[in-house]
Amino acid sequence: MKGIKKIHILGILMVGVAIALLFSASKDLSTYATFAQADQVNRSVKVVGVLAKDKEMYYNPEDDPNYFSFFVKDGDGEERKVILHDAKPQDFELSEQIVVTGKMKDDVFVASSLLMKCPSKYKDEEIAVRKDI
Amino acid sequence: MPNIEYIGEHLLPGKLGHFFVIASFVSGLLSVLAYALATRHRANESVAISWKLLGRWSFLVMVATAFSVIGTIFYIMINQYYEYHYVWSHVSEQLPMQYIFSAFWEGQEGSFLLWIFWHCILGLFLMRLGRNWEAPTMAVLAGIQVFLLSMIIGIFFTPDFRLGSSPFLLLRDVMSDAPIFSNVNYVTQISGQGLNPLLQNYWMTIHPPTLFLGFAACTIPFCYAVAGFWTKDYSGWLKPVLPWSLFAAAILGTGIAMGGAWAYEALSFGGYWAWDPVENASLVPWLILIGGIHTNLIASRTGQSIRGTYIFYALSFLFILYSTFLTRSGILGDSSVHAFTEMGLEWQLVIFMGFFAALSIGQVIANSKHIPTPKTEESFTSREFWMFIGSLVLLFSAGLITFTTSIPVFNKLFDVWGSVVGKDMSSWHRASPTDAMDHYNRFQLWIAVFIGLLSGLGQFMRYKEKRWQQYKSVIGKHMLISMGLAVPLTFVTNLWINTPAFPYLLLLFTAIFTVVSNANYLISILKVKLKSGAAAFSHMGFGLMIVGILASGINKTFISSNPFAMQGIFSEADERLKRNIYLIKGKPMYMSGYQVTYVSDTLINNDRSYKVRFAKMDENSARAIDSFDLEPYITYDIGLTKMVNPNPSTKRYLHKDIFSHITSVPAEVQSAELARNFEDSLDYQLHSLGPNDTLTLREGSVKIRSINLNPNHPMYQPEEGDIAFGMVLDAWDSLGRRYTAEPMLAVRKGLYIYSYQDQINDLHLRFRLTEEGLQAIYPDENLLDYQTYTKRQGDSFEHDDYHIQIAGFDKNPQHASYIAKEGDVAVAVVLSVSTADGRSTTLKPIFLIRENRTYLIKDFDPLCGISAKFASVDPKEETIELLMASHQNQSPMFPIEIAEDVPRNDFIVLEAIEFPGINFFWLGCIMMMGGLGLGAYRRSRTI
Repeated sequence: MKGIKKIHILGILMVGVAIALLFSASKDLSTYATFAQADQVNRSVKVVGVLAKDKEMYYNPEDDPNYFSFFVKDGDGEERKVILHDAKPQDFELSEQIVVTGKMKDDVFVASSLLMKCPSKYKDEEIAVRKDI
Repeated sequence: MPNIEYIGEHLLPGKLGHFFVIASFVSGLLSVLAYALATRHRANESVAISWKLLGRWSFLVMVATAFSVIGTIFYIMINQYYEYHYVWSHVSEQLPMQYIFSAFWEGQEGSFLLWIFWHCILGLFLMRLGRNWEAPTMAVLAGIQVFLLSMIIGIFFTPDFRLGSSPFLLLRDVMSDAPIFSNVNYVTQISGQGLNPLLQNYWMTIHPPTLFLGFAACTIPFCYAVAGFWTKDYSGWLKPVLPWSLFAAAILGTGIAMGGAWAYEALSFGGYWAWDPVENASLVPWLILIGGIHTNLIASRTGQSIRGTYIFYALSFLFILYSTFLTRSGILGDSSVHAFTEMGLEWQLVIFMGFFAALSIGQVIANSKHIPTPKTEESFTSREFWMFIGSLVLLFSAGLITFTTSIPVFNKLFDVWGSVVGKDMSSWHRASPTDAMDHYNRFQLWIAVFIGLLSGLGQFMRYKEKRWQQYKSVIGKHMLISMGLAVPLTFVTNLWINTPAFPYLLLLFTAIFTVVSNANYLISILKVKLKSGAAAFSHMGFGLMIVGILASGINKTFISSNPFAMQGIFSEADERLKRNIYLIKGKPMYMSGYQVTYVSDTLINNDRSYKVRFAKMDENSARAIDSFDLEPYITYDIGLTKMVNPNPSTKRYLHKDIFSHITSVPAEVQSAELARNFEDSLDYQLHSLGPNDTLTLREGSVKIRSINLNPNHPMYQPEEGDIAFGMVLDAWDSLGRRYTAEPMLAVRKGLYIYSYQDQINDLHLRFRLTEEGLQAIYPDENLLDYQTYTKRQGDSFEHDDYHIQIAGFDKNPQHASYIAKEGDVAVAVVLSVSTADGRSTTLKPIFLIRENRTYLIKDFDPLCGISAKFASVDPKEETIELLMASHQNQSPMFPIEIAEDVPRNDFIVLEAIEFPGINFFWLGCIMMMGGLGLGAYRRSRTI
């Protein structure tokens, strides 16, 4: 058995650093939450839901071009108002599934980013559109 | 579906094409076998030669048949044989021919074929240039090609289980339940879906081929590595492979940069990189390949890291397969904006990856003992040591990116495990970070710092350093020079970039350091022998790229009420971050030192282009220092019924870009359906106005100015027989300012009503006419009581309460109901009419002789309430006969529908972003890829 070469020490060091980095990276990962869970934590969460098409979608650019509100129903069936400080995305009414990232503020979910899935005219495909702030 | 004999299907191309795919697959297999046997018997020259020849010929057959497949698909696409599912999915009548290539590789099968195509080309080169290495490398390459062909071979083993997805599937096989297929003649009735409009630009023509050439090229270093270990010639492959690796890195890097350029130039995303999973998936193999190039250089010079080089090249290839798996399997559905079509071939891709992963692991383990390692240890002061550290840093970078990008894969694996052991693993699911950009940037920043330091330092180090004591002063001197220049340069640059925190400043420093240090190297060591400066160029390119990323990222500003965009400054999504501005046509807005005006918009073909003027104002004098126009535009679908996507417009300066795009337009402009919904949502109230009435509304008062019997509207195309009228309405606001609206209505063939509303935006009023208006406007001829007057030119007379003057004659009369025909003799008399209450109008009734018959075309004014006919002329007496009738007994009240509080329709919502220093980024990319290309060229010459 040869002696421990420098390269081996380096290797062990590298593995240690790699583990530390991956651990740090993994702390950034989020989980999908429901609105009820979002109520309880004070940090940014992701909520998967569907657009409530029967509820109001408000965008009046003459008033404020950076305010768009709509309603989302999450996996538990809970419906909340969501606010996005950006323009209304094109074809928003067509979206089905929506993933909103943000925080609850009072009773409203303030979204920092929005990922929508709209069925396109292509039967087999879906086209996702992301709005990030 | 019972067996129907369809008429007009072109089935032969499909059958031929399918045959070619299978032939290609089989000859590819044969090529693998033959080359493998040639390798195995390499000691016995005559045997080896004959196997090699067989390998070559079968490879050539594979190439020819693969080209035939491609040709067949182009044939059915160009001829628009929609009976084929692939043609139906990607081609349509309206597809411009220049996009036929984009349509070809829009679909999965097509993009696999593009990959296969490049492998054919590269394989031909490898065959020619491989020399001693031809047999083993070609065996591996052919093997990879066979796997790729299996993805499109489309053989059904059972109705549910198939190998590959054939591009020649018939539409009626894929969508067998569609009712149209009960029709024998369906071929003549179907039409294709066409190319996704977002892909109808030149980027879709150049980006995929470049990217796939990069993918294909990344397999060659792997082929060489496998060949080296296979033939137990552990160092012989290190030299010939290097030009291929450099070439692959240059092309793949260019392809990735093109993707960024596409996003920046043509999409409204507003940037060139989003750490989107599909982008990441193509970056990872590139990073690993660069690491491999560096270990390759080490191995060539010192004999160290041979195994390392193998591993890097193998990982690079495996991650190409992984990236294709991620993109094609649909697993990234919730985390990426790129579109997916699931092919259902995930298991095939997994086997593909698994096979080569197992092969690599097996080869490394089996050969580890036999790889010669040099006796001396690496010393900390040697170039190869620090280069190796650099490669490891790149590997870390790749690993971190892969980790976060693969979260959906982990979730899937948890689920698979859960289904095996019967547990619900959904609590183990994770989602991507809530702020993805920040997450990636945080780690990659330090990676970039290390790379900057190492690439600046490493150039001056020497291989197998044994005489450190002698040379350390030389190296130290150069380092001092480089630092000496880098520090003040960083300071100066930071005045411009204004980094917000120390890590960014450090990154800026290391980037500038590597630029300066490599320039120093180029000048002092290489004596400006540019040909040898490939590495220096690439490193300088890297440094410039980082400067560009910092400048355009940190100082990215939105030209709206809020200056700073960088997310890191604001810890959460903030109301203060207002990115969009609302612009009313013709009204300038002042923000961030600019006066911004939405000047006009024009519809040309399928694009509506908006002219937005930006004038940079001098703070003191309030005059424009600089002014430019941007023209973002929105694209409509073929029928002009719906807006498809917005396109940005960018003003480029040397030191910054100003990027703009439309984020919102009025409902009427977006789509016909939204326009209808908008119109239906308005609350119109019916008002009746007499000619002298003034109607008072909430935001203004309205009066009828005149009624136009020959109305125009940009969207109205008059046809003969139309009965149309328009109203000119005046409105006043509370300050007495006057506005005008001109709604109109046309009735065609007594049945179809074309109504064109008009809107006064400043008063939020919208006007609509009704057909009942026609009755008010066109008096009932039977109820009119005409009186005859015989007069001369210049005469004036009274009729009821009207004062009429004969002003003259018009030999070329224009009249709403009169269309001049050849041979007509027509003359109108011009009558000036004024009423007791101050209204006046001009009537021009026409006396027409056509084909020897006389016609009287009357003219009338509904508001004044008078009709006139030009009955006859007596040339001898120089008198004319006029018939005048008042509408008095029909008191006109004109119905108008008016909606109040109507949202404006003359606005756009614009996002305008300033990207300072972005040209450093592009320049850096070009230099980096250029350096790699130069290196590839130089090294290929020395073989």
